[in-house]
Amino acid sequence: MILVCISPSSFCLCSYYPFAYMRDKHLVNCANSIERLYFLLVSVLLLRLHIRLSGAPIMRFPIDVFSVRLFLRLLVGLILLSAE
Amino acid sequence: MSKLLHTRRFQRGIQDYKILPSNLESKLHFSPVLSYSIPLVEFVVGLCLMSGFLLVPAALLTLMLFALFSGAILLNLLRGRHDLSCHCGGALGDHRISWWLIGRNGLLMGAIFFLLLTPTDIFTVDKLLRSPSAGSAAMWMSAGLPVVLLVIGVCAVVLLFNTARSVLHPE
Repeated sequence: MILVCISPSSFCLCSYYPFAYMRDKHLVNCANSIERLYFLLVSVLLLRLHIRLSGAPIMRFPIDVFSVRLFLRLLVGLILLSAE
Repeated sequence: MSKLLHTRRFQRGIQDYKILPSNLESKLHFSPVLSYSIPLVEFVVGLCLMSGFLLVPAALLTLMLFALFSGAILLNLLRGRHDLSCHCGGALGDHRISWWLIGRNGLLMGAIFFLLLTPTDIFTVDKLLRSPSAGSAAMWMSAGLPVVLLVIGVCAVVLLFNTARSVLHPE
């Protein structure tokens, strides 16, 4: 369970280098756009992790109100935490 | 989170918006108070939303924050100051203020309304605390620990992002 929790974080860390590389090459706008998409991806990953850990019957349905709620909570939470 | 570490820079950002007249601003010390309180509220509310702890107050505070930001942007757009930076930062990026930003904040506010109007999802700290087995060690080990680890993990990642960025692009 701990491994499952840590995996999105390791994924985040490993994939930060392309953004850093692009910024060094002055491709700042491109890096920013990809980074935003990336935050969205991390939110989806965390959502999947949340659902997996909860072991809830919502696993049977790809999208329902609870999944959308979890996604929105994580997305807005990440946006607020990352705000510089 | 780096707003908390660079309050002076954020304070200048708030002053750029010129929400209050300068004589009133110097009397009330409006921007120094906001430069500390906004990042703190953002941090706490972000953690609460992600973990699902005190979800309704956190959602209401988020709604107020987005309404405040949108109001400040709207005021400056109406004044014709389109060259002003939004000072959003983080995942939202830093742009010049525009009607698009009002729309984006509107979408985020819509998301918060959705959270307020739909029933609470199962995997929140609020729900765990209200469950009949609340307080048992087994419950916290099986459900509470992953939430705590998730929140710590996300905070560590965001902190690392910001540190790496400030090292790569020192001001």
